[in-house]
Amino acid sequence: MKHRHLIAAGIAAALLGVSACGNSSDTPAGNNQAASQPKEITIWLMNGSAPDSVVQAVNKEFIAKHPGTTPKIEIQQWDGIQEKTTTALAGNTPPDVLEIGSTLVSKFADSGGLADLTGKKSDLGGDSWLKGLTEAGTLDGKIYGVPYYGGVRAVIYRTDMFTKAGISSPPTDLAGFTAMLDKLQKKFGTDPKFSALYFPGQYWYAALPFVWDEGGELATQDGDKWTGALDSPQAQAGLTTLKGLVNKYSKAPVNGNENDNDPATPMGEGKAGVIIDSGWKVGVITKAHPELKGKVAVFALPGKNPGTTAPVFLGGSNLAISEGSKAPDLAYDWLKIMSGTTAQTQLATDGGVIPNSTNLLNLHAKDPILSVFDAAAKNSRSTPATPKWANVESGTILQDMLVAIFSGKSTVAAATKTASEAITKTLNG
Amino acid sequence: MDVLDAGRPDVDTALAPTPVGAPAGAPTGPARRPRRRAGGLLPYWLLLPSLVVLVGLLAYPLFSLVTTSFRQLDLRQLIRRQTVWVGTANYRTILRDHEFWVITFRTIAFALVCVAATLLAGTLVALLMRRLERGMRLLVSIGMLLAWATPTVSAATVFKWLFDEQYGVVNWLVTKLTPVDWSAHSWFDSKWPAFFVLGLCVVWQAIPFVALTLYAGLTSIPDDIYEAATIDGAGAWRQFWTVTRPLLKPIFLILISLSLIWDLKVFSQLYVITRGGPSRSTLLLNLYTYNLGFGVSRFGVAAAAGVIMVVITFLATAFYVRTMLRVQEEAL
Amino acid sequence: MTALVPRRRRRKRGSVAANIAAVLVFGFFAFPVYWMASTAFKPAAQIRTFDVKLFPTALTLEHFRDAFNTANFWTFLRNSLIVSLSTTVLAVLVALLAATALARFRFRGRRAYLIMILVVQMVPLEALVIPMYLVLRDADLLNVLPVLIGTYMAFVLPFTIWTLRGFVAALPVDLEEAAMTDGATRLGAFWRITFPLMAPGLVATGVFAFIQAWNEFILALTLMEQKNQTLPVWLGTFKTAQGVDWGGLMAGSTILAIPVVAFFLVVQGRMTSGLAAGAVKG
Repeated sequence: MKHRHLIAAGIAAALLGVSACGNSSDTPAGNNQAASQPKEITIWLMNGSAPDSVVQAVNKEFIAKHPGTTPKIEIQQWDGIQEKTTTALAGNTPPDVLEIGSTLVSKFADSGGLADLTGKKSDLGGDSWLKGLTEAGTLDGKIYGVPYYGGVRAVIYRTDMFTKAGISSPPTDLAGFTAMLDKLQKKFGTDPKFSALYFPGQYWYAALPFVWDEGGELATQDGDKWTGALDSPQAQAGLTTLKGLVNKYSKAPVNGNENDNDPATPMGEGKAGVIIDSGWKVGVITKAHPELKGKVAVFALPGKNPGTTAPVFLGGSNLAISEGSKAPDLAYDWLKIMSGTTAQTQLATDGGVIPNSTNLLNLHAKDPILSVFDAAAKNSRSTPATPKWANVESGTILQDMLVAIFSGKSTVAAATKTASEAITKTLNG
Repeated sequence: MDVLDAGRPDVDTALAPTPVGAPAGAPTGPARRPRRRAGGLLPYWLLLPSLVVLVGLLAYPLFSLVTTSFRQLDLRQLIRRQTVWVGTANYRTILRDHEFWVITFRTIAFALVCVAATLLAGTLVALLMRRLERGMRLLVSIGMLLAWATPTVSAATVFKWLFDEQYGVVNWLVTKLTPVDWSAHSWFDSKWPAFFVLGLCVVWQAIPFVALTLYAGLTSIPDDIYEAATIDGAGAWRQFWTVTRPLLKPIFLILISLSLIWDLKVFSQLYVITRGGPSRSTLLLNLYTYNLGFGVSRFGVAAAAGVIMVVITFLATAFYVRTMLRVQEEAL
Repeated sequence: MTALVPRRRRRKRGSVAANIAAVLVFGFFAFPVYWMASTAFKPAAQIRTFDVKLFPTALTLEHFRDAFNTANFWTFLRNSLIVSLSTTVLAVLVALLAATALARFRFRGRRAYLIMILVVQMVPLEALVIPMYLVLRDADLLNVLPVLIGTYMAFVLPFTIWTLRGFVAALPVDLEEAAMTDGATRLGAFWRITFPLMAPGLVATGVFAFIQAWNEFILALTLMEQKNQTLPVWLGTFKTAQGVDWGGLMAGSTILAIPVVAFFLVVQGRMTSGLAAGAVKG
């Protein structure tokens, strides 16, 4: 019979459907059990943040303390994480512990989806926490996100290329920085694809230092009202400087961003003189090009005034406990271990990130690369710690502004005015 | 959709692999009125399963969409499960937003262009298939099936890669084959080239369905009619205009209606290729609504935008749908 | 019929111009798919390079290996298969029942039902995501895989019913009657005669339903948690910490496309021969 296989397929599908029924119906029922000692807690960690060794050690310590419970780690991708976090926190079975990007903590704290951890600050050693991350995790004076780790950006370069271009030491001010770019362009600029400074247009994290160094701000707060401040003369000056550099020295796509147009790639291929990027990118470069091991170095982005560094953006993540967690005490214990000194030390050493405590900032003192980042972190800032800031990011206001400026479609004045108005509207809206 | 069998005489007359929605009996073979029985309760029982699914999982959420559009449902209300009624505030927010109107106009224009391109290309391909031997016809069908079967997200990703500024093969080919140097030509820096790539991706995947449906319809027109027209001295174009077009009118109408509905809803390709950029210049209605929800977490406003979008789609396609329903009066 | 076709007509088929056009058309449709597959097999060095190679000079499976090894890939694949196959079978069955009712019977509300399923297609799926989320959350049915199947069915049904209605309506009722006078029951006649003749319609709508379910992304992302999510979600968030890995992304896209293309080609072939056999014998 011609339709025999149709019937078979139908039965198979029905069976599969039934078995799927059987599997997934465990989930809601399971979570409604008596909440005394759940068999497992769920932890969301972002892709690439913590090395396996650290996570294993934390889990081991946790299980030793709570033998009946398994910590289940779920790795999440950055792309689409706001949506996933929203639906998870609004759902009936949110993860117990979750890592949230520092600029997003405010938004979820305001929503009521995160547990208030203010009372636990001293228990967690909160007095030595990094200021930038603490601010990011605090809303209306209450702590919802515990600092997890930080990351800043600095200028990465190749010592061999510097030698060839006749640059003996890293610049100490912005004028020196420009002169250095000039030398690189002169030496390698015959290659039309070479960028003395490889800067994708939407890379707002790397644009912020230029604004802050001039004394500009993203937004100012007056009581409850926020006002976008990118149209101030100082901010405009910083962006004009950056525009000059990008237009003259960068062949990176103006409409590109640092993820799709990873600066590490052209650097490894010798198509970029310097890039502004995070510490772990050094490892990416040397992994793709092992011959460059030992030839990649870093210096902090210099400020306008000689001897200063530009204030850099302190990114990173915080750890939070969901308000709807069925095992908040267990979640807290896991969080305490991960944010504690032992795990943080291991995180800094194995992961190369900036740990959450100022007590541990000397861990990288011997490392020529990481020590530069740690030093730069001392002069670091974050984005406005307000719930609506996340909407500025998802509304791509800064990215659009930069693209308009670099492509020449708008003047700096016009583009910053549009962006400031949009920021004001979004932060107060 | 049996492209290979259409054209075999027995199949033609006995079955007319009926193109979507064409009334039984037209345009081919004996004019057959669909005989329908008054079935008592049986038809209702047959309809019941579909009604249960449609009402429970489509109509009810649709109702919920409308009620949500009258609520303030930001992240706070969503997570704390609060219900706050704000009347028509959400609708006013949207209708007063200048950008909304720009985007609406843009969405309609984009959809019209895509539909026109798809119908034109689809018709040409169907006509071509009629003139091919079985082997070549199979080749064309397989090509189209490959395009049609590719998941939308995959297709969008591939097109983004094809037109990549630095390493894309399109720029490479143009640079190699023409005097123009496009080795760093950006397709996504401004909205017209971006729309071109987006439209190409949408149309590339839309043509197969149209072409195959039209081909099935074409093969149900007996050769005799064309023979007679040729004897009367009509050329190819005239034959198309006076013979093919009127007979295929019902199929054209439904293809236009469906294509318009689908192209007004474009989302995945837009999300993957430009995500509305640069600077929101390629933003279309569906993504705009989505951003209101999952972007800035204003789900009440997003719901209102969703309702408005349905209304707009309805208005835009009303003419075609009405004509189609009238043409199919008999079948209905 | 063949005897009546004038010489003129036969010469027009297979003309050189038509064949050239056919090759170009094939190229237009097949090239992006070829490019996706060839990039998936190219070693990384040949992808991110200004020296583009139209034909890969070296082949590698590393991108596919990386794709298979990503966390949860096999879970997502299993989920996609379960959901898509279930949706297809159930949707076609339910649609067939409805289509039969609409095409073969007169009853009150018939026209209204038809208009409803046409209008309902105008609603964009993405707009219904949040209401669906709210409805399911309150019913505590989030993250339950069969619910995903149900929602996919709801979205495919309108078009499926519409299409099948056309096919059912085109079938001559006489065939059934003839079979019944030969002693078969109404059900037997339906099963033996009518059902096989509807094969192309069932195939077409089955394929459509499968593709819609296989590709769906937003609902799977929003309504399901990680262990119940599907392949498109995996592809959509497939970005390594180092940015876009085109080789991996193309490998992922190819993996996503293969089952659909295979399903298409296999089913198309089988049903064609079945139909031909049935028609000739009949």
